[in-house]
Amino acid sequence: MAELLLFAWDHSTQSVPKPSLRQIAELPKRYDVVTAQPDGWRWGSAELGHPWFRILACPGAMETDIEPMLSPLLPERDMDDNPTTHWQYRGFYPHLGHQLVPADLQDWFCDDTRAAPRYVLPTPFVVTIAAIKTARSPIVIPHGGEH
Amino acid sequence: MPTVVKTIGSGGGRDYSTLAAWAASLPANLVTDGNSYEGDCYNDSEFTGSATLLTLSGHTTDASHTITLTTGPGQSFRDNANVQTNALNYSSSNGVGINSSVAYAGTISITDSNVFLSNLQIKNTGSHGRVLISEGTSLSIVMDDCIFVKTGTSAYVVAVSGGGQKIRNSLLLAAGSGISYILAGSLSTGVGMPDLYFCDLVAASDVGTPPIEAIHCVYSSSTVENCAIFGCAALSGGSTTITFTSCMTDLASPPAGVTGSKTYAKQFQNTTAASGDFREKAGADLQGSGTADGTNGATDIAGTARPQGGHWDIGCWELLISVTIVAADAWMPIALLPTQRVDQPVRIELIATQRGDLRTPLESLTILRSDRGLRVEDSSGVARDTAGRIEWAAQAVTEWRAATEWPTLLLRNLAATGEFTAALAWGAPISPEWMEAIATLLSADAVLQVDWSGLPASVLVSLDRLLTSPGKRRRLDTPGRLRLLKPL
Repeated sequence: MAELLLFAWDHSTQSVPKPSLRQIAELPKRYDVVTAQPDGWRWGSAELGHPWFRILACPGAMETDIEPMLSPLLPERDMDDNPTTHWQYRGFYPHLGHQLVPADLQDWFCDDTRAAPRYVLPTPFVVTIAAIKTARSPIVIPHGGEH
Repeated sequence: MPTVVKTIGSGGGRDYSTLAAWAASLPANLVTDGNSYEGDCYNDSEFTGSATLLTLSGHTTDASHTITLTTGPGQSFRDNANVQTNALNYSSSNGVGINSSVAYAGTISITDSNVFLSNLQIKNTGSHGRVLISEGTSLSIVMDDCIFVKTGTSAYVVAVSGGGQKIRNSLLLAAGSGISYILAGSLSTGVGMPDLYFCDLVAASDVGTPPIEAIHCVYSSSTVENCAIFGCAALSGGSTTITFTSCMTDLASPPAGVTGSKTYAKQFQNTTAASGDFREKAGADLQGSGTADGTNGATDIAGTARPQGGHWDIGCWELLISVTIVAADAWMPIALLPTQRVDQPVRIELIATQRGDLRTPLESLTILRSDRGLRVEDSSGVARDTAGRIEWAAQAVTEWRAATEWPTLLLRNLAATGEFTAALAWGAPISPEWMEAIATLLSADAVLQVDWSGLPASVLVSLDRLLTSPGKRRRLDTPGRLRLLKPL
């Protein structure tokens, strides 16, 4: 049904210098779905080879499962309409580090060499994308701003 | 600073197939990374989706480490071979198009600073969607030569605020009903709205509910220069101090710097939602009414150099002055009464390039052929409209003189009516008793045929009064200078 381009890089721990809290919120995070495309999509060479990405083919995934993982997490606001949490790149992500996810899939995701550019989920699979969909935790804006 | 250029498109051999992936590949900190980044889009297929297609957020940039999204060579609507005749509106068949149906969000969302967009067509079809959102504190976002079209209902075409932002030579079109504003900016304290140069901010003339205001912004100040603002219920709202310079609108009683009460339909080829074509019309009030600004408007949205014929047009489109001469098939002979008796019949062909802007010199090419094998070319005809009339004096070879009177208004309406009237007069030392002038008049757009059917089949023109002056220039600004005697 869909092929997901997942983000594998963790800016909060791997980027130097470390981005600010606001930047970390706004940048894609590990496991975030960068984009979803139909089965058989012709990916670009960098999408297939860049160590920051993974392509997960999910033949059984429904569009309704994927759509929430393509939307940002909007800020929460106080009574005066001032944001109390940061806008984030995505509100949900498929948690491939979840304990239900088979080890081979986790190993594939951790392989920065991208020896296997795509991973095709068998159908049926032990878990579904919907089952490992996880909400991003809000990132609170510190009082007085970030220091 | 080096620039890392990547290709984006669905065709084979591209680096990225999606805008989102290219954006996600950018380093968090471009300054420490030491590079600028450029994404070159290819029109392998339309970039489409139901979510935001490009998000640029969280990156550290500065004036030397920037992010650019543009088109690859030959991929923009601006590069299209038919850019002069293609409708000026969103069409992915003309070049790279980015189109999302996302609602309550933007097709493109930017909070990064030092971002440059150019040559793109961007569209949003979602309810409450925006074509582009850049609200916040992002600085120095510059959008050049883009088409922004929103067809869904409500919200804004673009929501842009920050500092040092500019939109130049771009079309911002509200083609849906109930869109609140074409440009919403400066909605938060401390942030401004972009400066606008040579832009069309237009709403389709047949939408149910036009935008409440073309521009709505609350804080700070802004410059709006050489912009055409048509089809909205009001020009602007909010408390932002906007300095308008050489702008034009259909609204009555606009603020200083905006000329009002201009007819919308007279300015553009087509103003409807379904068939909108926002190329400037020949004879539009926009033509030649702008202010010179080579910094922000050296070329128009179609790549035409400004100024044309010394004139700066308002809006994103600059009417071409010179055109390619094409063979016209609408012509007729005009018999001329000479001032001197001659022995040999001579045939004259007059080719006049109607350049679309009659306040600039016309070019002409005169070819004289006779049965004695004589051939004289004169390409020095000059025409000027200095007071609502045409002056055309010949600076011809030796003793040639030429004169004609072209009704200015008919000429200016040429593109609309396809009609044209003219009288021609030529004389020469060896002029024949009867000369045949074949005039081939070419329209500014090089696609309109001149319709001579309104003229008599043939007319006689008295040259005696025309050729009495020894000077090379004659001004024909009073009726009757060219006296039509009688039909043959």
